[in-house]
Amino acid sequence: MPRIRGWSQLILVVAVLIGVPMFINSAYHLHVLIMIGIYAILAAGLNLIVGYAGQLSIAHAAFFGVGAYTAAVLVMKVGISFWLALPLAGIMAGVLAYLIGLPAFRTSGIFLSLVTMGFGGLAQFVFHNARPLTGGPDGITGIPFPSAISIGSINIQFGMKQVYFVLVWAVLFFLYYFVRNLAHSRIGEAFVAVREDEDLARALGINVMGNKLLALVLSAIFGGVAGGLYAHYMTYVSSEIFTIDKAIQLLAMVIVGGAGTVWGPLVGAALLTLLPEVMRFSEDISMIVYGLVVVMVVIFMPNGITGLYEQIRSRIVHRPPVQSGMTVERDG
Amino acid sequence: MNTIETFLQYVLNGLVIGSGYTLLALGLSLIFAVMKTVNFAHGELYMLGAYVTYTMIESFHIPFLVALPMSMIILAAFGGLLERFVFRPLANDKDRHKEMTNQFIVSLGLVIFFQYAASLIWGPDPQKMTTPFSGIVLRVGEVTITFERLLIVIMAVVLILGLYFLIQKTTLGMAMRAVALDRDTANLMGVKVSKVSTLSFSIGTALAAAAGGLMGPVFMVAPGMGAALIMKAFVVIILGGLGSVFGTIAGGLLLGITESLVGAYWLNQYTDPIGFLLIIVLLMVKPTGLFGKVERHA
Repeated sequence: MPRIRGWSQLILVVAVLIGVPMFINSAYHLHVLIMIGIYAILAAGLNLIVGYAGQLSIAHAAFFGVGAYTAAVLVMKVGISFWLALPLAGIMAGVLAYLIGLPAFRTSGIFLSLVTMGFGGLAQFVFHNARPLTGGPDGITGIPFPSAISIGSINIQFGMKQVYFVLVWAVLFFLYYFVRNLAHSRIGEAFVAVREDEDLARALGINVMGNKLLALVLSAIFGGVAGGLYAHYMTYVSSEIFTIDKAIQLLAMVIVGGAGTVWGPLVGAALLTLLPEVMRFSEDISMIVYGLVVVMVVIFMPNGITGLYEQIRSRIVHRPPVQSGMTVERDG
Repeated sequence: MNTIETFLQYVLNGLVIGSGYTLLALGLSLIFAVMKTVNFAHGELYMLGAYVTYTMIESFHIPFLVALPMSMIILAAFGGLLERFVFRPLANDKDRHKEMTNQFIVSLGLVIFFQYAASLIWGPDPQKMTTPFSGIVLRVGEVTITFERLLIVIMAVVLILGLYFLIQKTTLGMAMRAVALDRDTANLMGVKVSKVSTLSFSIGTALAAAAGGLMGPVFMVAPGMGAALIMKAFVVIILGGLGSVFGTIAGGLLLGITESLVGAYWLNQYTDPIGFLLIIVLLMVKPTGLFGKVERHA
């Protein structure tokens, strides 16, 4: 993908944040865009641990759930403001990720996937049965929209889909900016070193365990924030949402879009959120296509959709593609 | 009904379920041992095996005892095609870790694909599979077992003996063991690695189909039936140790009986988290799994 630099990126972001709510009035279209935003935040977080640090975690739906329940409970039962609850939802998910990561990273490779899947399954079991806190199988209903903000005489209400779109996508752009900077920092490079060759990274003095934990905690914070945004948008959460299946779908978004790239998760989240919407006539057929897309992408586009440009170019220019670990590491 | 007989009844129930777990896990273990493929869609092949058996009985009125082996053959062919056209293109001799990861992700895609394909073809609702043995109940004292359940145990014994003979006494089995031990060396020694891989995948899939066809009449046949069991199959493999037929049998029966007893006496049928907890604890105790050797080279 050709690079878009500096100012033009900022202008693009502002154009999306102002243009979309101005020109799109359909509640349905806005709803889909908000869901894409929430999934893109989730996928961007998962990309940190899966794409950059190369650890195939299948616990991401659990962090999503912890964020959603934390935000809902803090606002409804403790009575604090949404604007405080949202970062706390992220922090809570991060703490949980640390506690899960400590034992889980004793394993690696496919076994880490199984262990994190185990934790994901346990988390859903807890969501489903911790009735006093999570409402058990009934979930939590009647979660309020974020409290209104007054700037001068303008009162911003978040019940409107246009406004919620701006909120979600502003958070999304901020977090993607964070990922982009992280990827170029020493930390991001340490993640990639761990992904490429753990033993070599250790020999070079990189704290492998510490970097894996950091990547997992950061990814969980993204997930927790997405959960908070989700809970206060849908006004309803239930354990049905935070399943292992959901974790697999999130993983699919990262892989299809392009793991280890900055914008890949957004592309993957957009494509795999739109797909069931476009094929609303049959859930079965849309999910069959969903599964097929995942299989096809892994077989024919090992670097995901955003890696396609590089893949095609390297074929034409007869230069070997920059193969590495899971994917090609490129600028965003 | 006195307490000892109740206890024995639960053990027997666990033994039946455990036999089903064992069949499912043996196929998974065989495919992993030979190809190092973690096929998460193995549960869906089990589900397809059940549906194919179901369709032959309900739509074509083929007797159950004929339909079951036919379903195994059909799924074996299907498994071979999957290996050839989905998993083999991802083989990567330079980077085995990448190969494993990609094959794992593809199998997750297949899970979604097969589940919804089954839902489209057979409908999302669970179906009851009837066999000529439905309603036959054997009784020893107060302990009872339906013939359909007993058949799971009998067929498991037959198939396991067959598999053991195949692995230990035939040329194909020897080739499979060679590839499992070291793919590259086996290749150098003239073993047709790709052929052995395809056949192993076929045999593993056939075992899954057998498990599906046998468990189908006892439980319901539904698109999600495989997803519910796959975690348990992984627990069994890790519990029993890779490639060890006896380990897998022991693991399968142990898990089945433990679940049955814990569900009956303690957790009130909340047995789902047991599998998750076991997999976490087992992998914690042996960090690289009981097949850690593979990981180190990857």
